[in-house]
Amino acid sequence: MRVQLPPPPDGVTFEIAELVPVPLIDREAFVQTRLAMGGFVLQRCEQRTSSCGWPMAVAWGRRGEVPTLRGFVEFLDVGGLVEAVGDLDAALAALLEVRPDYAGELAAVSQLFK
Amino acid sequence: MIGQPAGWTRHATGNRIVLVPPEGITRGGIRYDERVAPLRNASAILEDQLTRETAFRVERAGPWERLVTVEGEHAATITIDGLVDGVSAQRSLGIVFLDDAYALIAGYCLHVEDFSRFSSSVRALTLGDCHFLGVRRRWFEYMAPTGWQARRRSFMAEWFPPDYPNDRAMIVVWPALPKRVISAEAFVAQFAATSTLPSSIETASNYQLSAHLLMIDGELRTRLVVLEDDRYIYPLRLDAASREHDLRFETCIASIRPIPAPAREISPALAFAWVD
Repeated sequence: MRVQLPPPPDGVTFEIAELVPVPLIDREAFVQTRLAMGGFVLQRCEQRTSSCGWPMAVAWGRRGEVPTLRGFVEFLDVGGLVEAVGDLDAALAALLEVRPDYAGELAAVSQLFK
Repeated sequence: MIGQPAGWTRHATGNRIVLVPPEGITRGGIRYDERVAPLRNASAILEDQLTRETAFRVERAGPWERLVTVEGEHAATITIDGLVDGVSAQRSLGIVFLDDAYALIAGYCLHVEDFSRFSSSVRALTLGDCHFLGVRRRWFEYMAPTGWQARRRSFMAEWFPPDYPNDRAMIVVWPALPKRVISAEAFVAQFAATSTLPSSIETASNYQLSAHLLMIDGELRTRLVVLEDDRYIYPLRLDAASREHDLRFETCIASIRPIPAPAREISPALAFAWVD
């Protein structure tokens, strides 16, 4: 399973981390910790919902001197961090189109023969 | 556990067995790995095998043939013609899908006159491969809802539509469960305490499976269906905010195939001496 995003808009670069289990306890603290990883200086954070309804914490801030957008999107019991640099308004619009992609995950007999 | 064709010799290394024809390894061989994990689909296994054999250049592959082993396990075979150092060669793969792993029977033949013998041996060994897993919790076959994605949770599959969670619908498919462990009535009874509607929904199985039904209307409409044959129950459930997906669910129900039964008798062609 992985995070699926539309192609990045011109001038935007996405970096997508692997999905991790989201704990039932202290979920908010977990999400905030993820958003702040790797020397990210968080300036503002909002709770958003993707276009098809997935909950997402979006944070604006900096990594070094680079204005950076981060989103932590939750798909049921897992979540993943997406980082964007470049045109952050365009990046946010693309980020809100995020979906889970379960391609390659075997869950049924019919998939064995594909 | 695979058979050993008459006249062939076996060589065991760790968990791997190599069967060598009477004429010797220069003619080719058949390799057997009894349990390879994790479980993968047929295409991924084929790709992996071809990637490992760098000397083999594919000329023509397939088609896949779906099989059911003598034990009732799902399996597939494929034959691939190619070249090794400019000389015709053939690879034949047999795959037996187990619950969380697969068995691999891989034939490698270097003489055109032996191609048919090797590929038919791989097919026969695949059909006769035994794992003694018996009647157990296992996946059953159904037509997946088109365009939906599946999340695996242990033996369960959770199917959800492209616009989930805005489109609040999910089809949950449990594994087939042995009837001697839990009956369809007992499975339904687990949910019956919250039932608010009589079980009157019409269902149709394309494979003559009888159905037990439960409907619960709350925040979501829940439809629990448990089909059964003489060995297994086949439970699945739709949770949805509207009736929009009822037809999709009914199609899924109708397509459920019973777990393949083991063969009553093993054909003499498959009755090789077993290799353990």
